[in-house]
Amino acid sequence: MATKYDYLASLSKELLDAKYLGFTPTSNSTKPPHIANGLFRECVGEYWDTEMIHKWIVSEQKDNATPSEEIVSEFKSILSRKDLENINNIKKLRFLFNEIFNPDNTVYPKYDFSSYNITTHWLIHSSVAPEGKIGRFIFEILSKLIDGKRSPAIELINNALKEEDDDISHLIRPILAFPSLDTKKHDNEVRFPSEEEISWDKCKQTIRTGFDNLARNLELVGESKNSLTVLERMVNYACFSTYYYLVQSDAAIYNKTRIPMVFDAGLELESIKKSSEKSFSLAKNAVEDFFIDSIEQILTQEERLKNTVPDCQRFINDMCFSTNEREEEIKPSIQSFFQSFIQDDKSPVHALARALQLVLYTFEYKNNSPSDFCRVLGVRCGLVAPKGNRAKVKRYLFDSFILETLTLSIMSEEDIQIGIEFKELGEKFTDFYNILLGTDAHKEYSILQESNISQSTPGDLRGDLTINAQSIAEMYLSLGLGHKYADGVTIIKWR
Amino acid sequence: MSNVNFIKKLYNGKNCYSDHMNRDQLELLHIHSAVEDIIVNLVHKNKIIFLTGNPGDGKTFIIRAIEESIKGEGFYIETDVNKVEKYETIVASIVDCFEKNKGAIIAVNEYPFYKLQREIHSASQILYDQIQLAKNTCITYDISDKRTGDIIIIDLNERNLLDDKSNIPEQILDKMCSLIIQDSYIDRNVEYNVKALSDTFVKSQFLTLVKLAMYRYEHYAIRDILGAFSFILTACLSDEYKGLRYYDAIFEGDNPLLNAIKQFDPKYLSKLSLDEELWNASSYNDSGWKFGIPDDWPSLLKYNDDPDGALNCFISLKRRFYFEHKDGSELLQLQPKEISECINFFVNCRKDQRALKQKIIRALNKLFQPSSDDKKALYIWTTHRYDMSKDPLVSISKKSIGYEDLELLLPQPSDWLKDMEYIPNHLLLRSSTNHSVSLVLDVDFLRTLDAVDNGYPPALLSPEYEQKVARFLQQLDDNGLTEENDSGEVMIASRTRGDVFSVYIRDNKYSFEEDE
Repeated sequence: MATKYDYLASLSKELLDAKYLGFTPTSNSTKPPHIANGLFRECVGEYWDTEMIHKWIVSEQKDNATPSEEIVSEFKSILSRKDLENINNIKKLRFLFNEIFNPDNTVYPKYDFSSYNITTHWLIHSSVAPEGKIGRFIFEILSKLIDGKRSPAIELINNALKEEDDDISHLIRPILAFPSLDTKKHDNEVRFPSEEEISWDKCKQTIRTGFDNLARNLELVGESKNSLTVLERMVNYACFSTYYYLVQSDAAIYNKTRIPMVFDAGLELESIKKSSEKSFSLAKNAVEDFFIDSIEQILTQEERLKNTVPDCQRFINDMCFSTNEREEEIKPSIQSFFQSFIQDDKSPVHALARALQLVLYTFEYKNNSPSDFCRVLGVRCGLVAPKGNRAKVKRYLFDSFILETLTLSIMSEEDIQIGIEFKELGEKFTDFYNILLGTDAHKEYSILQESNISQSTPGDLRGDLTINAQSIAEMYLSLGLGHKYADGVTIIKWR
Repeated sequence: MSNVNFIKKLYNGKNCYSDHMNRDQLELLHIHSAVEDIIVNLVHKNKIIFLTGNPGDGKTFIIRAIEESIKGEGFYIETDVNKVEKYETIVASIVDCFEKNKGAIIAVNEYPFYKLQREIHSASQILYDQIQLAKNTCITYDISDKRTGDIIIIDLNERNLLDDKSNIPEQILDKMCSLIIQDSYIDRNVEYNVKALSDTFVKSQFLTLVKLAMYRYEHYAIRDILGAFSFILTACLSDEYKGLRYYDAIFEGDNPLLNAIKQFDPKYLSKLSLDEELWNASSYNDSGWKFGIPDDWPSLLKYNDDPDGALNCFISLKRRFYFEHKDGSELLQLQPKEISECINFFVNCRKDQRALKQKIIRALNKLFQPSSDDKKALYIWTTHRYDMSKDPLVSISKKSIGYEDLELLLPQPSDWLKDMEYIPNHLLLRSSTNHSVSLVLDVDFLRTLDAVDNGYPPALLSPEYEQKVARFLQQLDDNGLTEENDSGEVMIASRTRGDVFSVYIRDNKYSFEEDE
């Protein structure tokens, strides 16, 4: 039986399609290893049969897991003592495999749903739902022909995935080669999108430039020699890009003000803490605004909908839902939200868009709204902290790894070779991502004023921005990425 | 201006910059540095010399001191690039000297030097490359190449005026004391300070403290040394420190050198019997004091209702005891052990490089695997994660580098710079075959490794140490300098439990024993 048309589900699908967002940020199960799996599969155009690895990794304590006795029996030909192998050794190795290849709990008892902590192309799995099409979204940005070329990041990722003998992949080679490696590869061919398929905006351009810079700079600083580092950096930046697109696409596509991200160096300066929290909170609002603006755009394309209250009410009444229960539950909510928004909204269609965004978040994205997705992804890529569910109010407290990744994504070739003044680097961070380090307190204060952040921040924000910047400079120095001169100038230069 | 006033203004004042001094004042303070001879010698060979360093390092001072020796030779001299906003003219002159093989001396602070290099980079790539080469070769770890290029960089950050052989602190102190006694009127307290610090024993006690500060292996500019000594001798003339004598002034001023010396304040050194005797004035009120028995003691009646005053009196007395009592040197033996251990790192690097290298390798292994006692091979540990909110649970190693393939080296000035006052402030661990892969071990890092080697848990350390080492290990591996472990061993170390599990992979088969 064909599924009955459902307006809200259809609207959600349209919003998450390539024309608008291009990926599905609505699952709290999406973790960086899923993004890695999706992106790597798109880049190399292959995935592997990893069922045997899966058997070894899944803990014996889990339902349907293979007992170690069976592992010994099935894999005796790759055990030097054959079926006489001490079962405790196997148990211990399986336990450690779980810690190595499943540190983020992305390997489930069901093989089809699992993803690994990928170290080589052997571990790329077929598509799993929590990927949320993010891998494809990033791949399309990398595939866009700019000056006739795709991003060098694709080749760098491919080369890194081809490495099969790094310390970690080496550990599972006997299992993968059993009985033969040849039978386990599924070739899909790389599916480059046509240029017409790729929707393009300023935000995607920034992401693409970041990837191109990152790929070039990894070569320049010698990190490209290490396949594991390349994969970590690329996935780290892919996670950041996803986050960045979610929070900045409203500004890029609908010409809104870019949301600043106040990087708190962790000095516990109240004004910085609050402004960072506020900027993070605004980012989540910006995601909602993107949905509202996109819904409004979809609505304005509806021929039968005029920008009047009766028309909007008629439009609500005409909405179809897949079940009566849904209709009885959702329609009154839309009407109620619409009635309340129309009080303070000049445009009835805009009020309707706001009402629809709210019901989408309430009924379609029950488990995880795109705004919550931002919080979870932000924490997992090292951008947002404090981690843990207890810390309800989060802010931008960068982990040193993502700080390095983002720095590599904005530095020019000359910056890498000769160095860049910290103040200039701060300007680049602002120009690229609207990340505020505090290096230009005057300019950054104005940005925060424009976003209505400084007005609700206690203390001497302008002065504290400068103190915060000094502490970030110290972070660079402790990472071995800079030199501080006696006259107070810090030059950021790669090791 | 009287000599004492001139010296007084050297403490944190304008007088500490030579461009505010006239020729006579410069002469008053001039202590010969080997750098002067090096510059004169090299500029006569038509080298282009960049004299760089931090403000107050003595660049202008040096150029003004050698003015007479280079006058009329047609060299291009730039005494202060720091004040120049646009570098085009200077860059053009330097390029001209470079192309015409003409000598030049350019004094420039570190950061303006960085900016100058960027300008030179656009003007002349060859000159820029030569500057980079010169930068990388002024301090060396190898047998120095006696040849020099056309460009010479003398970085005064590398000059350490507290080094043992040059005896500069003593020369400065003597010079200041001799200048003060030339004045017709001398304040009573200044006179006391000069008399005491001219005494061999007191001077030796004081210079020992300076030497201890040196073992922090930090850089002190000439301005810091002049300022510190000025304060010690003349603080008593200021309103804030009126009457404060040298033995207290040494620990009260605010200056990089004085702040370092403060850590060795005798007040922190405690020997119960001595403290009791000093407090009660029991046995030290009759003999052993070089300049007479002190007249202020904490046990005096006037302090009965003033415990703070008694304590301050005791601190001052103890300091005075250190400097002026014949048994004062006993207190020196109470200085913390880690200072001498750190000194040993540098001394032993020359004497027993092999043992020290093995100790460092063992400590580096312990950073990842605390139970390890291996000092013959440095293991290459790898972690891998995508979720930055979680620390890796395990580290894995299947490769190592033998200790004989690593070398531990002390830095030294290049041959042409060898007479410069210098103290090594770090050790370098590097691959014997690929010198670009190296790990700099500064004093702080060496102390940390020493603690780890003695059982300090690595988990309690700041993550930057592990990051630095991990990067070094990765570079060793990326450059093909490592070897697979014997018998195909792969070690898996739990970072939470601290244990290590070994699995052996041979012919695509797992084994859990080293030998079949």
